[in-house]
Amino acid sequence: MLRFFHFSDYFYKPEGKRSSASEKSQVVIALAGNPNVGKSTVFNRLTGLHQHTGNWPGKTVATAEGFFRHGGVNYRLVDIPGMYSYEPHSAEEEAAIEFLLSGSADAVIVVCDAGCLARGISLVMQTAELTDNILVCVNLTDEAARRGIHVDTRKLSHMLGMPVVATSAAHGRGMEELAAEAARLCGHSGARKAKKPFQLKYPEPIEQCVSDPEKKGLDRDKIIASTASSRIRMADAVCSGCVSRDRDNARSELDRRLDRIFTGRVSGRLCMIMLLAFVFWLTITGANYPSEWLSAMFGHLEGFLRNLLAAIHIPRIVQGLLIDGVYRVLTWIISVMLPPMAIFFPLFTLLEDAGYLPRVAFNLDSCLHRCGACGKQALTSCMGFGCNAVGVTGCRIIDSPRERLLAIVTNSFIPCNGRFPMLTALISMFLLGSVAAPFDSMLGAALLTGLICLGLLASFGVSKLLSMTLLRGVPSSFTLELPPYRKPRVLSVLFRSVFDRTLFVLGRAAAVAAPAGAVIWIMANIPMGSGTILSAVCHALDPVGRFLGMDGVILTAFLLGMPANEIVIPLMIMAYMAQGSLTDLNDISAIRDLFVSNGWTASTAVCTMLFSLMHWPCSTTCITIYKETKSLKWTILSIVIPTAAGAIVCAGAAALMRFF
Amino acid sequence: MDNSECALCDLRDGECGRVLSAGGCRELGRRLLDLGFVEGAFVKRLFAAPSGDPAAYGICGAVIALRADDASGIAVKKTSPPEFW
Repeated sequence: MLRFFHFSDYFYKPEGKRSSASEKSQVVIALAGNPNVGKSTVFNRLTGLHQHTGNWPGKTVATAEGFFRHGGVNYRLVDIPGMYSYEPHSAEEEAAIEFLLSGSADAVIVVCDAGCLARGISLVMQTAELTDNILVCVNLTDEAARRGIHVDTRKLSHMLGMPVVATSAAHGRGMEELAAEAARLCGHSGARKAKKPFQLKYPEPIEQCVSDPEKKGLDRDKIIASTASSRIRMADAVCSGCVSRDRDNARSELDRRLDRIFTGRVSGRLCMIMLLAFVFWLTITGANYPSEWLSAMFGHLEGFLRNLLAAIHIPRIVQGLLIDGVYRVLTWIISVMLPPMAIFFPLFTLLEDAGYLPRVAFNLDSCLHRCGACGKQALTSCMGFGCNAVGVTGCRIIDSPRERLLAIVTNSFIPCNGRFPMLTALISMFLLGSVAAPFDSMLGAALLTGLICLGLLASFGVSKLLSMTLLRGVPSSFTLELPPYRKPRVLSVLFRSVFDRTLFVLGRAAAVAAPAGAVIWIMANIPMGSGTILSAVCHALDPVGRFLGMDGVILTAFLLGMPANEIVIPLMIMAYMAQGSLTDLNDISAIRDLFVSNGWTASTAVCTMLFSLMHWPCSTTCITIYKETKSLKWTILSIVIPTAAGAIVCAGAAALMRFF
Repeated sequence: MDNSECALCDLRDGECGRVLSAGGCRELGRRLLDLGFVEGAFVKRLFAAPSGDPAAYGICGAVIALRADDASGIAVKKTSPPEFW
């Protein structure tokens, strides 16, 4: 019999001390498994937390911890990013594996996909070399049943000599049994099964080689290949004993048919663009009405607040600070940013839940391959739509350090939800007549899609440039698992995206916006020379701004908006208003008039949109980039490169439009 | 069905094979082993991306996308499809 830790010492040495279970007061249970088998869903169900889940491998890139109680005992549950085996391929997998090897966990729950059991069982067998306390959780049983795959868990438990629980975490089925079984395994309720777990016997030369490490008969690669195939073969044998398949396999057929559409030569490309445009169209059209109601409501409220403050004799200067500074910036963010976010996020999450995103990576891989990048960069770009900082963290799914840097540097070319409503607002203010007209909203969606595609192209182009200059190297291998399509859980998606994401992002924006509003109001009201500090700064930046097709105020707003891109437009509004032309800002058209009276034309709007697409990442993203790369050089380059690209594009566009 | 040996990337859509050896460079080789491309495993080429590369293969009940460069290191023997595909 071969114990895994001998084996691991031979291959891979975890750093740090081994801590025994008795050193800790809590019972620690690790949640391991292949990627995309629903570990995070199991985790959320057991702990009641809200880890983000999605239908693609690599959604969880960092370990998460939570607690659950069963029978009066507290258990600490650790969700580990997915892995295929105990051979690490990247620093993050190494960390996950190290955690398991360190013996910090009292028990390990190995989550397996019922529809793809053999690979899960192979991991179970490898885990069995590490610890006796294993609980096998056969998840996604509902989905497998729809595919005509049925797992006999009793037989599987008998064959493996381990407790096995069948679950369907998405629907909450089997979670009670899982918790109870985990508690039993840790010896806290009921007697532990005395049965010895299954141990895999490897071919003789390898057993010999490991029991006598001095003996150098075989090289590392051969051992890995041989043990991996023994495991898979044994896992196959186990599975064939306890998995039954219906002859009729209509569901998998449906998947293949969908794949033919979504990855077809013409239809695949068309679907990508059409889906993107459709999502934008729904967002622009749907966000328009609540935006108008909200800004009208806030407009009325503003008058009321002004009267109130005046009535209780608040000094004029404080009134200005609170109303013109803090209140206006905050209400702008709520009325203009919230509706598009609240529509775009759920729609995007639905696509993610359905399993479409990996198909996008699959379709775009050859493009990215030619740019020297990894196809998974498409996935991290997609995450960038939500938040660039999240996208940068997500780049951990890319194994090659070179390709990961490419993905990190180019992530900010994708407008995050802070910049995205700004684009929709500018498009509807300057490039369309009225958004309510169906033709105009379609045109708006088309323009936005074009703009996003431009951002994507820029990220491809910069990847190409970088891989020819600073990040030279051969593209590494690319393996991507395409998960089955799943029917998205609409209600849970709505709930999750509104409460977890939208409100969180909004809260962060508001937290930044209120002080920023105050700061800029103060800047606009402290006299300096002939004007104020703000007008002096704007004046100083004016030549640069003009050269880029904008003006000093816009550039200043972008600079001051670095903590959160959401506040760029409110900063512009405030700066313009401080320069004299006070308007009643009850709706979008009033803002448009304000901009126009300050010399805005369609060309200014276009350049502002282009610059918004390509400029420095927000401060949160910069900090995240530093954390991920641990390199000041790459953090600075991730700021300089998009800014340079934006400057070139804007200057070019401005020159072109001046010419016509 | 012709029982010839070829590289995995030479299979056409819908064709099946049995893996003879999973080669490639070290890093990729290990990744492929983890995904189930071990000697004797059944593999089926399912469909290709719009540009023809990468292609998706069915293995071990999962669908895995591989670039032609990476799949060329895997030798397969063409077979008729096993009972359940």
